[in-house]
Amino acid sequence: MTMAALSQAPLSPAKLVYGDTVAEYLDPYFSQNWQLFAPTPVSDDRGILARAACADGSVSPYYDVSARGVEKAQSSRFFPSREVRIVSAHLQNITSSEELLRRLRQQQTNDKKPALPPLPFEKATEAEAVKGLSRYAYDQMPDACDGKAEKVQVRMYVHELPPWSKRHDPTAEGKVLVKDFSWHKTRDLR
Amino acid sequence: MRNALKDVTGRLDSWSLNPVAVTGVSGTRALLGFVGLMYYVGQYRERNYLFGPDGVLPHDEFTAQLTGFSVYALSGSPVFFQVVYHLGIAVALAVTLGVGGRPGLVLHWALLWSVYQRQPGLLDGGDNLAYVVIPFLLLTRCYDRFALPTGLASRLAERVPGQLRAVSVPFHNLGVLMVAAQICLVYVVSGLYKVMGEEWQDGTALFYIMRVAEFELPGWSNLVYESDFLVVLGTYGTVAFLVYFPLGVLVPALRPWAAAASICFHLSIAFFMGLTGFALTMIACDLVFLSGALDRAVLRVKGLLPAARTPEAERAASAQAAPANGENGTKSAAPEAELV
Repeated sequence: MTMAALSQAPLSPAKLVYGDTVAEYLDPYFSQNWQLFAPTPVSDDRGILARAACADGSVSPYYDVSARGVEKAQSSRFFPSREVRIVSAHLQNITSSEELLRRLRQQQTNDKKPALPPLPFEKATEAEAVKGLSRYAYDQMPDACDGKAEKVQVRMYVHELPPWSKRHDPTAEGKVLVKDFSWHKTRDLR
Repeated sequence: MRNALKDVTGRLDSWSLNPVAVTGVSGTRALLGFVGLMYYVGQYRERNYLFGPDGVLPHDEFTAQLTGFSVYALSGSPVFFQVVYHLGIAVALAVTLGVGGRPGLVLHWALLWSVYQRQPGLLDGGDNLAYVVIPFLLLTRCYDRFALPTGLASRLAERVPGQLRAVSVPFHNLGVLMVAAQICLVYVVSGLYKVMGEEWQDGTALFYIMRVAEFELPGWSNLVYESDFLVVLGTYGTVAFLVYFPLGVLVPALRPWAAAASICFHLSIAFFMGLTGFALTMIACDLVFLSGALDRAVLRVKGLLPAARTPEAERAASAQAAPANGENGTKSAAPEAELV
């Protein structure tokens, strides 16, 4: 129980020294994470769009891949569908980084020094997530290119919702950040 | 000094003779079984796409990224997948109904862990708590209540050597303590991390979370996040509740109130955010603090049902009442410690 408690403690000198040992004991069957919506609550809508490239070189319009999962999640309050989490889990893997690295980069940015580039394992995680997203997107758009899409490309969007201070301002619109990932050949996906 | 010692040994005696919260922990088992069952049933129609070998996570990629074990990794055949998935449903149902005893619970844990690992992206804190807590339940007598009687368990128990039966009570109490400690850890950690967050400090966190589409209930969530009063009250109320929960359960007089507050808190999470499984898992673990209240509720329900007023049911009812309110247990109230 003490080990479980230490594994959940914020980053501290004790955690730096003993954290890995403790994690080894708990992993995987007693691993846990209780940062539920903390310290920073989610405050943006995240999702993906996707487009397909056909054999004749034409490119389909963007398709809203996330919409279906969100709609399914909202349509029930009794064990609603979790399909929406396929997208959000992959996006989580792409956008979040380890606490130690996050703090290091934060400090480098504050000191106006060049930030640490993505480490090999971070690149691998992102590549895996993008592949998963591409496959999900491809499955969601069976009609693109009459069902014969050659490649798909995923676009991630992060729509920051208007802040509390603008809650009475109906014209307030949050920033939208967009990132396009590389094209994936559909025959590598299915 | 001698009094203090007597107090300690008295406590040790009581710890090793009287099982605590038997009804509560049985409720935990039944409700966790139900949530597990609904994990399968709720996604039944999408099972091939979400968990199947040719689904969104193909079998070879799944085995490459697997941590720990998963029964689903044993074979990429679609038939094997169907068999394991349906076996999972049957075992979860058995746990819910209280059939199969602790061996059934072990099997349920293994199959549930397997299906969780088959698609880890779908998991939330509720699933995490479930796979951590089920092994603790194995120590407890969580099949003593809310279980279909098969008679098999008592016949088996008679064959267990006396020394082994004697340690069952302290082990039960240890298991209950571990569930209680785990749920306190969950609340305190999530509360303390919230204290560290700027939006939780300034009382606006709820405003942000409730607008995110994934966690929104259109037509209802806006009633809360458009009200400054409710947002601030809800945000600070959440943090205060989470951080002070262990103090609430440490003081016996406050214990049912803390647990009741937690149940209301999680029911509103289930309603507004659609996190039914998460909310019910938390509530299931809270039940260890509500054993006495559950006993009284069961009695009241039994009193209302005329059909249940058979001599057997009466006897069972009075036996159940014994730990909760001694004045009722005059009839046949067999001391709990003798039941295995």
